[in-house]
Amino acid sequence: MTQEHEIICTLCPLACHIKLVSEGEKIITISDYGCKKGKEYAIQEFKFPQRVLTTTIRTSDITHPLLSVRTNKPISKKLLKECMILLANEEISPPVKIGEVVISNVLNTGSDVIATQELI
Amino acid sequence: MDIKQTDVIIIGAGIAGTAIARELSQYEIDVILMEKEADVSFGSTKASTAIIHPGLPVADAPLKTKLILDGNRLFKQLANELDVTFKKTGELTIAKNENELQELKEMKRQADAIKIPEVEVINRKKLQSMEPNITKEAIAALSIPTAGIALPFEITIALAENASQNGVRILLNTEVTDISRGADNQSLLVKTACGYIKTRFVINAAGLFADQIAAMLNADDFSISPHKGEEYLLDKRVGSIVNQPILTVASPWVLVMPTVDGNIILGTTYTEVNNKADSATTLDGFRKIINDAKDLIPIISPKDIIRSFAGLRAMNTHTSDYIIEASKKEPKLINVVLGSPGITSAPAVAKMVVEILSDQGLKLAKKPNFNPQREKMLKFSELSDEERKALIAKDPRYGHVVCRCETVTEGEIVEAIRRGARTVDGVKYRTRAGMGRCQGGFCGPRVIEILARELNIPVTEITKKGKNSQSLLFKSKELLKKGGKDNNGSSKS
Amino acid sequence: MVLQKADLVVIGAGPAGVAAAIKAKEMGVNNVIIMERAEQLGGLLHQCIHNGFGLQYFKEDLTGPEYAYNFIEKAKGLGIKFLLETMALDISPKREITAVSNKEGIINLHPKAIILAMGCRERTRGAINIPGTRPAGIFTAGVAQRFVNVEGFIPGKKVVILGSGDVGMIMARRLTLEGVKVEAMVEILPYVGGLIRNEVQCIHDFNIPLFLEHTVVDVHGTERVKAVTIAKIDKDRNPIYKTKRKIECDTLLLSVGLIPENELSLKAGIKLDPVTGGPIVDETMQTNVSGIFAAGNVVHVHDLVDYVSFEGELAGSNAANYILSQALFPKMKINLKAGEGIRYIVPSTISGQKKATLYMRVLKPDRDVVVKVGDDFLRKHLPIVKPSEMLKIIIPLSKLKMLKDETKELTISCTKGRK
Repeated sequence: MTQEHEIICTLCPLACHIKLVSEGEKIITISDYGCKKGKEYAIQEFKFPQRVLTTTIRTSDITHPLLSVRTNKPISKKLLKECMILLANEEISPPVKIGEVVISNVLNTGSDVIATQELI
Repeated sequence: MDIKQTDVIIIGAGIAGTAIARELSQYEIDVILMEKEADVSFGSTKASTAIIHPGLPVADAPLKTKLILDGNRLFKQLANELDVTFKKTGELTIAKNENELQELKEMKRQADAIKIPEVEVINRKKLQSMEPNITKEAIAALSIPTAGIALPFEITIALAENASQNGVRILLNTEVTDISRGADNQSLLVKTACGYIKTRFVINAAGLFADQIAAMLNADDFSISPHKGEEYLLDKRVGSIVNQPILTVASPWVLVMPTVDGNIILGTTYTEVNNKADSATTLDGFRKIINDAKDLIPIISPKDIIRSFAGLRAMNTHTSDYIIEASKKEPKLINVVLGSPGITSAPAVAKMVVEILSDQGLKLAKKPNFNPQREKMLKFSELSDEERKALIAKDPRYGHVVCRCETVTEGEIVEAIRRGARTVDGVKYRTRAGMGRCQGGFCGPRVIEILARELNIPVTEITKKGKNSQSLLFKSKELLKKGGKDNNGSSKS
Repeated sequence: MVLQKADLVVIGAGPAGVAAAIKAKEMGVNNVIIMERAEQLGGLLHQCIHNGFGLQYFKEDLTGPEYAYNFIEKAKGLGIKFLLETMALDISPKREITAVSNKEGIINLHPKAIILAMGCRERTRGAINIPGTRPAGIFTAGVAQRFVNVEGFIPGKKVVILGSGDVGMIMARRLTLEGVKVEAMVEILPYVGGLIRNEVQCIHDFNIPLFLEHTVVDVHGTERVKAVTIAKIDKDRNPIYKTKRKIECDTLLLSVGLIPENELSLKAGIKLDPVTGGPIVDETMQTNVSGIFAAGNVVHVHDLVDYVSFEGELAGSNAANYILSQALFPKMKINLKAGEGIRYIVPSTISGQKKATLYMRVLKPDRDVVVKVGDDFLRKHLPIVKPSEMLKIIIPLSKLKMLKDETKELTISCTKGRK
């Protein structure tokens, strides 16, 4: 059975509403995209949507209770929640440099969680 | 709490209760002031316009009329002693047609008869020169120079501070749950969550809840009907678009007035509601007030509103006058039911209550060491640069501006907490932090932080106005951790 | 303390202020001071821990703290002086600054030029008249962001967000990730207020119920928020009461607009534009008061920080020119006027002597429009415009040279069309 999906392209302000028809995991048709990049975006969004996760980790420094972090590459959208729970149980102590890897290969995604702030 | 007995318990720390407490604090008696909220003035009082009325006769209310007139005359001295702001601005009541002008003339005759000084019916030209923004439709006005403006919470806090300085014990977050007659028939037993206190007299200044207090002794057959008044506050930036309260003949509730801090208040509605907790503002109220205000001062724009609020006037259903008397069935209970207005008359009401207590047999000897003076809180924003320098050199916390809209420093916030503020609103009413155009957007988080630090309690326990009004319910990650905290919207274990 | 040697004082160490100070210093201004009321440089970027910053400026996708770090490190390396935890209390039209800090006490400065970079503040409940009670649990989105991302607190567990500006949407995602249930996002307009990327990645990704053409008509609860009532609005923005629905929640977040912070500007005698709420500036970012410049959200609210930095640099370089050689300043000869379809234009005047970069916002979203400068002086077709996305139009010097000498005003419009 085929399924119709609407994917809003975020690559530019035009925000094309791309139509994608699939059967199971197979893409049947893609239409209403404005450019080649948009088409690729829609395929990616359908097959394996990914996001950069930006969040915080608790620190042992009472004057700066949180350290902001992000994944250095996008991770699967489905793993965002799991990653949040994992990070909620972490605590970090200074010093931390900006860009420093806080957790490597988080949830086996191949992506590292890195600090986006300094903690002195 | 380890108080077993006292001479007088005052229930309710609004304007009436605190004024009575302060008046009684000059005598050699033991007085306890009880308040169910987290701070004084947190009930109806805080939402009062705090016009210090001149005392024009109120229909069917001779006692109210007399006490307002007396209160007006006492107010200046009180404000001086407590070092609170009281501006004798005068007030103007506007007439838009010949009929209304006739009414103004009648009001002038009444004012003259009770010797309110300098009352004058002024013409359009003079009105225009006094209030350049007044509507073109105004043909004349009644000018009463003895009227003034004050701040309701400032006076109430000052009265409480001075009472406390002179020995009155103030119990906040203390709700009276029952009152019964003592076995000796000479006393009353007041029950709170902390047990019973035996007292010779109870003064019922519970405002909206005065009927419930009286009912505990089956004493009286009045009930309180809350009447909502909505008010809208304009940004200081609009400036002095009026110089004194502007009222109308047509409605006693419509007004445009300056505050002592330089804002403008638009008010007010007078709507009976059936819920004593219903202080919600409404879209209808907003529209009515904006229309009424623009009818008086056409340049007013709703775009300049920074805050809206509503208060409930505790009007009694028994009489259109005040009720201030020893209960006929239980003379150890003194009912003090004011409603509106309440601020102006408070100093006179307090004196009357002292007389009633004396009539009822309470011996009142003056304390030799009573100190009527209360020291005002320092306001950084009102100091000169030289004074500021000296102050910061002494205490650097006065160099840390926390509220940028009203230029309130950390030093002032710490002092407010030292004087008894336990909540964000308590800090606001004492310092003005959060009263400006950003309404605490910038300083709110810092005020919470300072409260937590000074009181040495967790941030999640700091409340806006006591009870369950916590601002921040959870610590970071608390909702994510496995086996996390409870699910009842509270982080407390 | 009197710091005699201030050549340039920048008020505010957000992205506009830091970029301005760096530029001025690089151009040879000796004593550059940044005055900042917080304890660190970077302004609100520290609490904007999400990514999406720097795509224009660094051609890189950065988070707010990373974007700020790049500038701060540069500023530190240049020998710019920082007065932190210092609040400017007053600026006179003669450029005398009075400030206060707990370390220095009262500070008086009299620099040769000033750059205003105080940023903006959030509109509050009072400004939009939401009826109802006034319990704890009502926050502006930016305040909540600070609590959640910096101070380590979560305001509540069931949240309704009014307004679909970028901060509101970012917070919808942020709170959801932190385990909060975002019950609804309510927007009075028929379309989402912020960027499309945020709509997809913050709202759609997390299935947050979006109520367009709705508003909050009542707040319930006396101590803490217990619920809000929302309703659809009619074309005059009046609530349609039969569409009311009550949503239980413990927190209401407001993301209902930003206002440039100009209390100090008014004290200095600076004229404000009633539409932007910010100072009226010329192409050099100078205000009507000689030697006082302004940049960033204090002038007009930007949607991308990158443009704030560019604007800061423009103000910084012109302030440097002003300090180093006043003679270089050309006369502003041409007024720019917002015509049909345009809400505002910054700057408001240009000299015609150099390339002009105009930033503007349209009144309503549309597809296939033509932005016209003057009668038929310059035209640009745009496939899509939105009020939330700032337009940038450049008029090249070659074009400006073609203008007649007597041209005093250019009207800019945005109308339907393809050519």
